Amino acid sequence: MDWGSIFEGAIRAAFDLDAVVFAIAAIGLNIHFGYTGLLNFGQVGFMAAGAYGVGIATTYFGWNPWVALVVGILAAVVLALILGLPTLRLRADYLAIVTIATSEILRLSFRSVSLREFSGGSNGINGFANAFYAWSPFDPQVQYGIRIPGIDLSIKFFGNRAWILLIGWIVVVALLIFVRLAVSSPWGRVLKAIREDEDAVRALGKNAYWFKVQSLIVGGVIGAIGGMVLSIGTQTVQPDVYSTSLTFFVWTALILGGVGRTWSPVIGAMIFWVLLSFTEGVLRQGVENNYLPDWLIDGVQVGQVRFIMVGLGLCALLIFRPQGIFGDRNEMALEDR
Amino acid sequence: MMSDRATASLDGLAEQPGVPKPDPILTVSNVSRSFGGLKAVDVEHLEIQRGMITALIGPNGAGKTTFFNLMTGFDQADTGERVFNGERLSRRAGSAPARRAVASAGVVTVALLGGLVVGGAVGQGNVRLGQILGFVVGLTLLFFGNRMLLTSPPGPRSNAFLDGRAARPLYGIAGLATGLVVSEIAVWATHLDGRWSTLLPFFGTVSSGILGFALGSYVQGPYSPHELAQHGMVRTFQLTKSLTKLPVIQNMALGAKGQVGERLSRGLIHPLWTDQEASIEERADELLKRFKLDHMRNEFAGTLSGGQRKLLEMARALMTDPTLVMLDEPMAGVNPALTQSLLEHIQGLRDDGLTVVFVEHDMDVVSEISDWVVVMAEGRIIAEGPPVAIGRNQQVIDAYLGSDHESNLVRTVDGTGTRDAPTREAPTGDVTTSDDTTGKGSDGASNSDGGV
Repeated sequence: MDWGSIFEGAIRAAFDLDAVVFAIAAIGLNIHFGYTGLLNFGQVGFMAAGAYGVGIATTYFGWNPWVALVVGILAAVVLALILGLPTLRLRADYLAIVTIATSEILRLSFRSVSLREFSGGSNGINGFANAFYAWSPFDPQVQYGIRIPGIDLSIKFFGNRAWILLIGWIVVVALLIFVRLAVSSPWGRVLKAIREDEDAVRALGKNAYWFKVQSLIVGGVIGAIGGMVLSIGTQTVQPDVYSTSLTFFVWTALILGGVGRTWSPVIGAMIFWVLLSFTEGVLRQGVENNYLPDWLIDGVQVGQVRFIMVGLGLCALLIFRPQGIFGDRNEMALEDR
Repeated sequence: MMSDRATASLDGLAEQPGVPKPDPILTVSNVSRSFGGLKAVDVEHLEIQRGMITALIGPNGAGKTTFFNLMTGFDQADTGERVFNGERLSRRAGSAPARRAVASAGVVTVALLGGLVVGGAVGQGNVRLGQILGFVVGLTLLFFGNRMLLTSPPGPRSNAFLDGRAARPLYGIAGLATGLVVSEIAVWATHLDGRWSTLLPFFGTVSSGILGFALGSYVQGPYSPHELAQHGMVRTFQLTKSLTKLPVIQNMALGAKGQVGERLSRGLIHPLWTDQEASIEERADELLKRFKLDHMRNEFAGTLSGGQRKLLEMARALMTDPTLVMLDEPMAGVNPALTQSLLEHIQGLRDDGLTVVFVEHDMDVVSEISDWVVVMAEGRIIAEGPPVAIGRNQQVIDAYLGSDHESNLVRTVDGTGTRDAPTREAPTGDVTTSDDTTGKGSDGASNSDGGV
């Protein structure tokens, strides 16, 4: 077995586009669930709003890329208002139902034939981010990587990928600083109090409803930024990428890292992709080198089996470390009496 | 233990339900609330005297907590009106901002629709240009109209436009008009054509109309609990609501009003609110010391004992600078030693000039600290008066114990047990009979007679 390439693949996955996108989406979800206690099962809807906002604005309307970014963010704000205004007065589970339904409605609408002129139907929108890559300081034909002295690793990305990754991780850091500042302020205190007990917050003169709307908007916009990074990074917006399973993978990343901690969604997203890459590498090489017999698993099944393995790992984590990797077990043990 | 100052002002008041007080801080009239066929609360009139401790008592299922929730806005009454510190609370309408908002909606509607017609005529076939013109005219009118209305004195209550009863339809129409114009402009600006140039204005107009309608309902609606708290009416809960995963000091700081950092845009810039935060924490520390919680300052509220949580909730409520403190069964589930300290704290609030209303069903506790007692049974107020008089009141005794209370203890317990069942089902029938007879006094007695 070539352990070197397995580890290289795993480390590469920790920094690749998927990890960036998951990290950003999970940061948004962390605002919803980790700090405000909102059960948003439709984070992918916000990601789709951002991605399609940019895609439609640049291709159909032919607007300037900067304007397109604003359109993507506005789309997320509007989506948050449509979702939040009617449901946030109700119990938390209603939001969960409505968000999961809305994300599916969005996906099905975007891939529908009647909206093909805007969203390109099931083919989606392709090749709309050329302007972004025109600003790239990197040569698309050359591979770039970071060399750590003394360690022989060849984790390299082609110029365009390196450019979106650079921007993506800068965005992640900026968002972490934003979240840190926001949740340590009195604003964040109200959110955390709403998570603990909404009625107590209302009795103390805070408009809990409005704070929940704000939280949904802020987390949703962050999710939309994740969608934009994904769509720009892949130069394509395809409806079936934004299916509900993506929402649950983002949830997985968030819970892996630990809910309600600033850094945890990022670490969670990286670990999620490292695990996936690592199990895939091991299984694939095991099959190729005949360590794993063909009657047990073949090369085609590796892609599915790795999810089973990661699922088992997640179960083990929730049993032995329910607070996630960065959570505080003592804090978790505090219950209402 | 009664304070002479407070009770003196109530000497000589008739001890009957709904008696007017010399200086009421809260007045509720004709408050009713039904759950299905069951009329849980039906209170004709109640005034709470300022600067006193008023106890709201009654047997289980009397509607105390429901009535309490109605007073604090946590439940919506079917009918009724509340006046707090001279301000009507049951309808937002009538307040200055509501009048202003309704007036704005009216003006913008007229302006937009008028602008459409005028602009269409002036624009001569160039409809879009006409609409934009109309929009600009409308906004200008709105600006000047609003200023005019703001400076004019409040209109008479009977005027539906000015006191806000017209808010819902007006906001709805204003929403429709705004949606139409804005989406038409959007179509024009984005060069949409084909069916989307029709569909977008359609959806835009409809959704904007719905939004306007919802906004109108909000403006017309009653005050929310948080608005009552901002006005100085704060409440606690029977089941203590400590925010377990926040430290005690953060629990306290949450209660402070007017925090700059609670707006996200300001909250992000920490220097803008750190000074205010420091003074809030200073005040919180004083209160924690008074409630003997200062040693738990930095612990999670979840680590406090049940009694300490009661104290924390009371202290946190005081952080909102209330004038009226409403305590829902503050002594529930608290050991006798702590009950004593809680009672002292409640009296301390009164001595600081606050008004206290608390729900309780233990008569001993009530007579110890309260200046005035209101007794509820089966959703209505059956008696009110000073605690000594209430203790002697035959109706109250009947309501609590059933009318055969003078017989031996076993039978009394029996009686209470059997009385409970009909009490839960009876009120509907009871209310209709009492409405017919309009007798308030005899109800409680006759009812428990029937039950036993």
